Amino acid sequence: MGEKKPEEKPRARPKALYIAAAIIVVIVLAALAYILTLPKAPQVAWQLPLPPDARRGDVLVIENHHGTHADPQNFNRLVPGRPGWGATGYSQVCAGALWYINTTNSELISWLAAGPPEYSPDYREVTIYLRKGITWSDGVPFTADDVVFHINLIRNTQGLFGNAIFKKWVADVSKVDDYTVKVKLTEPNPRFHLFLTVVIYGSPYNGIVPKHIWEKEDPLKFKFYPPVCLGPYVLKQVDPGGNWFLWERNENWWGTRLYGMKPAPKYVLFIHHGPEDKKALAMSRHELDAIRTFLPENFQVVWQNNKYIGGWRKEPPFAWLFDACVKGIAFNLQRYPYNITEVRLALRHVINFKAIYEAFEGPDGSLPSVAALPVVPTPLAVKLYYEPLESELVKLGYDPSIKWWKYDPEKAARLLESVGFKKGPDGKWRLPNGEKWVINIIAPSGFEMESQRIAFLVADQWKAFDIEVNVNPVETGVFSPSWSRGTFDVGAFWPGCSLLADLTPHIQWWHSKYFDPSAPSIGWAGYSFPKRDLLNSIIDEMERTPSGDPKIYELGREALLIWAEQAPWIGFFPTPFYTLNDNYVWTNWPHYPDNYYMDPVYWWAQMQFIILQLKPTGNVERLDKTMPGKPPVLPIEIPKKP
Amino acid sequence: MSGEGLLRFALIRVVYFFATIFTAFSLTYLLLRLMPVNAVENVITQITAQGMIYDPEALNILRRQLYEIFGLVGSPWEQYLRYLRGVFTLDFGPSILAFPTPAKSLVVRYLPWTIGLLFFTTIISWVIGNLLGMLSALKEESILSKILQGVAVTLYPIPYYVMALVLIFLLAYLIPIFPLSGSSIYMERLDLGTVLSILRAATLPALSIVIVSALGWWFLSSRTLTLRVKAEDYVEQAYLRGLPEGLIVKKYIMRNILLPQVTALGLALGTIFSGAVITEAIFAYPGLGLLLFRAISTGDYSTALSIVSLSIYGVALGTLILDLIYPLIDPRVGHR
Repeated sequence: MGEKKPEEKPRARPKALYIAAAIIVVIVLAALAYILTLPKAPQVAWQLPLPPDARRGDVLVIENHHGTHADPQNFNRLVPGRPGWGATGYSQVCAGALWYINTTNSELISWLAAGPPEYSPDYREVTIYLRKGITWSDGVPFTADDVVFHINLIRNTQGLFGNAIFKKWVADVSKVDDYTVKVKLTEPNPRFHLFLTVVIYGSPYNGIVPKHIWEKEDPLKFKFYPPVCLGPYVLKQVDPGGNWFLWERNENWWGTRLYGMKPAPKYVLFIHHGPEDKKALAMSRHELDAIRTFLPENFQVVWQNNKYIGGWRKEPPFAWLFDACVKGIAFNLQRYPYNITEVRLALRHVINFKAIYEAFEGPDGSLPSVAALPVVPTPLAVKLYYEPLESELVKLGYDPSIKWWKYDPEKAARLLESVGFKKGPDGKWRLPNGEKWVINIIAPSGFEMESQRIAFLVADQWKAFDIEVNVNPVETGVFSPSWSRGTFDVGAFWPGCSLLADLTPHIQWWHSKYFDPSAPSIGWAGYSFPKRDLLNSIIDEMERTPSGDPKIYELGREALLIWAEQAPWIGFFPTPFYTLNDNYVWTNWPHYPDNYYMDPVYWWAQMQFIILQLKPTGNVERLDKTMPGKPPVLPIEIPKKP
Repeated sequence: MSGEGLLRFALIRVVYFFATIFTAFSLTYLLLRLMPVNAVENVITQITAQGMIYDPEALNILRRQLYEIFGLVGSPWEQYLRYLRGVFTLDFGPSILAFPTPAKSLVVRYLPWTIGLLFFTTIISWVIGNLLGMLSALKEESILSKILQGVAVTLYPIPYYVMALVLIFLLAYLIPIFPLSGSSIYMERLDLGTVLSILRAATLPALSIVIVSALGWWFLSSRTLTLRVKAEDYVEQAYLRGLPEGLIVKKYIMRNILLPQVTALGLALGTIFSGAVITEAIFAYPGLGLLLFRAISTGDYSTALSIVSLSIYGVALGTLILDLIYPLIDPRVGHR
């Protein structure tokens, strides 16, 4: 190309381009200068979606942990498939259940019910008494008609959550009078009421629905928007974009009228700010009062920037140690070679637990609570199960000094050799037929990241024992069907969930009568081994025994011992949860051990009891001057028999 | 070109359009079905993984019921035919992740958010990027050009996620000009104040997209194109003929670089219906991208197909329109 250009000066167009570019650059530079010259960010800069008459001190801000809701105007929780329970606030501040369990002590809280359920001696009939004077948020009285309608609606509508449960157990439900409901059961069941009780998180069918609203609708298509509530708040507004839900205190709430309870926050906002890094920024500047959990690195950001935070304890270590499920590694008991007991026991013995335990130490010194059994090691569970079983567990290779199974590679090698495994010329373990033994572990990705971490840590340890191991992290859409359908060898699953002292509802699925070959899951229910019949008979007896009977703990211990002998999965601990609360705007959060009235479960329906006890700190402006009413402890009001 | 030829050309393009649509939809169906995800098992696992109290036998019954109510029964062929009907009515039945809300109404809910953000940012990025790219190539030796090039080359490799986080930290945290969440607007009614709040909340996500794509791809591509065109013999000849530079830029350079850039813009506008997953995730901005990601990862076929069908139609229509108008902007392209 020629280099010589004419001398003539360029005309208007390039000049215009020049000027436009210069303007853009000036704008960018001005913005940068503005940013750099500002000394410091303000301590408090809420930018929350609040009505014009609200200040920061009038609102309690809780994390919506689900994220953006696809249809934020759908409050029908009876239809299946709805993710994000507990993320909208519906179950915490609007829905009402007959009973709640206080997971700190397994106590049954009678809420809409006037007292505990009354069973007939043969456990074929249960009577439910309701409190008098309760009203829905639209003023209509809450009566036995609602409870009868609720149970029948679910029982008679195929496809609703809980339909199969009520169809299986309820022979008939009827109203005795406005405040008494009688349920005739198809078979004896001393635990039927648990289906209507909030235990862990809260099941969709726990919250009673109002007959006068639902009877006119098709329950499979109805959206229940705006919801009519039994809880202390009513829906004020929903973000059309699906990120937040704002609830306003119901000044005519029955709890205030009848029992003097009143929540101090005028508004409760459940909001999604974006990824966890942003939630950490929000909590650092008091724009978020409670969060389900943080990864340790984000927890550290908040801890460094907000001196008002608390967690399970008020001071470090903050992490909550008793999330409802013991996390670990599960085997597919329907697949070779994991259907061989010696193989599973060997793999358990080559795990150096100390390394895994220490890897989970938080920056604030939080350490997990060890669980060698599939039972969350709450102080009560330790007393009922761990301590009485210790001497028996020692015979099976338990090490009391670390409260877990002994690290014993030599024993592991002996166990493997006893069933024909050998090391090959390359030093790697081989199957009895001479093929190389490769363990594939499936792990969650994008959620439950602690379990993914466990998978990698365990893989490293098995590799150190000369087994070839691959870890395959997959999204929830792949992870769930694998777990359910048993299309895996080994998985970072958590089949051991428990928070009740009575283990029956948590372990009854171990019985072979519940095995579904089309969805075998880890295959434990369908696994044959010498003590299978004994385990089945123990569970049968547990199902017949009421919760309060001391025999139930003895039976639970027997079942756990059989589990420990077989090692169908390896549990480590409930992974520590940084469920943080901010004491800058609101205080009186439950803290262990001094003020431990509830677990820090902001996404569970039990959050209602925390909201009712929060107190304003006075650190920020507040227009509404309400102070919390009486604590949510209701009397038993079962009518006297004549 | 004769009217008959024009008609024949248009007809062939329309036939291509329908063939593309059919192939794309069939492939989408096949790919979705081949994925190892299952909406029913997701629901079941939700129950077991949360330690919910549920009768084990009832759980097995629930599983069977869910296949029915989610419409996942019938042979793959029957489902395919049902799906093809949906292609023409744009109604793929109820969503699963917001059951029983129809998938169609989820799309209707989030489409304005997505278009509102991506249509404008795409156009703005395109204009700014091309303008600066061209300018920087025309004035290669100027300081400004060198600065711009430096900025673009620096920005281009930075992962978008990091860039967005930096913006949030600066403009929503350190200097709280913008809200942390993409939809922190309390609306009692739609008035001017609310509209301004919506614009304010959308500014940060929009800014992040514009910075990255204007100074990234659009800038670099238009700069490279301009440099190439500038080196062409006919431009050289135009200079030698003593034509004013303004005229050369307008008639000789701009028109030539606009051809591929208009094509790219058309295609970019066609793909906005898939949303912008990372932008939506990081800014908590409601849009179709995150919805699509969720639908795919949970096996919600009806929602996934409703969104993907928009993209298929968008890109196919964009291509058809480009094919039809191309001869108008490029005299070298005939109706063949």
